[in-house]
Amino acid sequence: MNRPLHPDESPRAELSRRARLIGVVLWSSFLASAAGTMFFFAFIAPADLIGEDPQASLMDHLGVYSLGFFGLWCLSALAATLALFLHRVSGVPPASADEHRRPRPEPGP
Amino acid sequence: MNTSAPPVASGSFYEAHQKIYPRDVKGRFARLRTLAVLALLGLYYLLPWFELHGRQAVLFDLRERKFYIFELVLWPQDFIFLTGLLVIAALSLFFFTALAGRLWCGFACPQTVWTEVYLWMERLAEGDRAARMRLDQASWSLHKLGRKLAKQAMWIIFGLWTGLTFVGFFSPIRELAHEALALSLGPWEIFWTCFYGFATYGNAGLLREQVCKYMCPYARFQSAMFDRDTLVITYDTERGEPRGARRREAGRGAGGLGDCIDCTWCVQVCPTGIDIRQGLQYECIGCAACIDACDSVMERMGYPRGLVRYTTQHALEHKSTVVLRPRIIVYAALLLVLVGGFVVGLALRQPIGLDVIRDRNALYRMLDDGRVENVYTLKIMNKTEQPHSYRVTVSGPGALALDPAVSYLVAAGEVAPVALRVRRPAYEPRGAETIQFHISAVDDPRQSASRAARFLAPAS
Repeated sequence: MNRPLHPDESPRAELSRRARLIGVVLWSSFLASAAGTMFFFAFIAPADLIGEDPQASLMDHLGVYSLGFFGLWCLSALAATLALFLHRVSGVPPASADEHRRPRPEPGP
Repeated sequence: MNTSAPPVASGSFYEAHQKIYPRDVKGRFARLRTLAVLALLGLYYLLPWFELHGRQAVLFDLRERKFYIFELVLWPQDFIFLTGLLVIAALSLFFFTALAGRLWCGFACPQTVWTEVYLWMERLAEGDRAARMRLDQASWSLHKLGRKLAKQAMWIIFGLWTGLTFVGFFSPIRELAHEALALSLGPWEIFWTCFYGFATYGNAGLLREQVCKYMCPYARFQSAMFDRDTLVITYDTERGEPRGARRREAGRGAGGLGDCIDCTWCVQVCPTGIDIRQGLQYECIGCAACIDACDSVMERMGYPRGLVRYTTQHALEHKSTVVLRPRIIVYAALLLVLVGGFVVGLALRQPIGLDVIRDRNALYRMLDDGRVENVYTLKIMNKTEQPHSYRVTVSGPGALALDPAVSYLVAAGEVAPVALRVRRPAYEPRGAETIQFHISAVDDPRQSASRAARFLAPAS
């Protein structure tokens, strides 16, 4: 997300903007993965993945659910990041308070 | 205070976050919220401890893959009911929002409810609003350190207890509590207790109104459910303006002033730090703290209550408010249909399940007596909480016979695999046919299920 800084922006503002973007990505993908985990494990049992005996594998069933959740979280965070990135490079500049206030150029004669 | 323009960090397009110190408020709506907090959190913390039929009454048992909700036992196959429940919850939210605004946000949302508890703990450790502001501005001392540590300790312990209770909804809480006391919790149990505990601490202790302002998707789209007949909390500009301080003895309307005495109590009690007098704002979570605050001030001044009140845009414009409008009727009708479907579906739901798997090793086997045989594995699910015997029958074209033709006892909540052979004369009829397996409980024939399967036989 390396957009050149606006002349009015300080590096601190860039940091806060980036922190907010990370927050948005992580939070929206968290919600998506919570729903996705429910859906996925409604059809697939951990026993289908690691076998009936949890002792035989390195992980118990709660571990499989947890890894499933975090796997989905990573995947949806990736999708959200990609969406932000594509939005950014598609030439739509991020709206800023300053740009809204700037008067539109008058049409030429 | 928040009546001035929001502070902006130098060179930033984002408003700098300022800590909000909500003032304690007493009144009708504060009592209502306290009641909601006690009821909802009581439910959350106590529910996992109730037992029914020798098991936890409400348990989303991940290990056994069964959801126990009192008498109801949902299996993974009943996923549709869980989805239905979520859809009904979402639609109820739409319905109540259209009718009465952000009731959910102000009184029932976990964020509000837990923030309220974290605020109580903060008040207990650091004192009221003025004391908290003084403490934050004071330089570090033993007194400040003690107060802050006490608050953090309460917050962390309460967060961990919340986290453990959360895990207790998915894994039997009594075992969990014993393991926790013996410090022998499994790694994932520790992880999720800390994860949920930290989320509670962070959301209710640190982030608070920022969750509503920046993180909550519902806060962003709830305005789509609003119209001019929706109940909202508003300041009666007509009655209140021009605002201004005055002596109590001056009498109402003295000096051409409106009823607002500009005491800013409505701003001080607001958990999101907005000024309700500036009109409806998306940050307003509809907690009605400003109504309580303003009412108490109005009473002290001897003015009628309700300068800030629940009302509709239409009522403020002196137009009549319509309750039964198309939006409400559509939401209500959809809700009725869904709830009806859910109840009927649940009532008709068979507490029995059947899966039929054909033996993949052999297509069919010719017997010496001129019959053909197919082998199947039946999986009989007893979804009830009592053991049942199940009778298996088979129907279809030709003289079908089952071997062995016996009943099968399946323990409560178990799945029993049963190997079965089906035989019929080889050429009556010729070729493959679809047959039906039926099972029914011996003691209750209303509990029954059927499943189709292919019966393979030579065509010539």
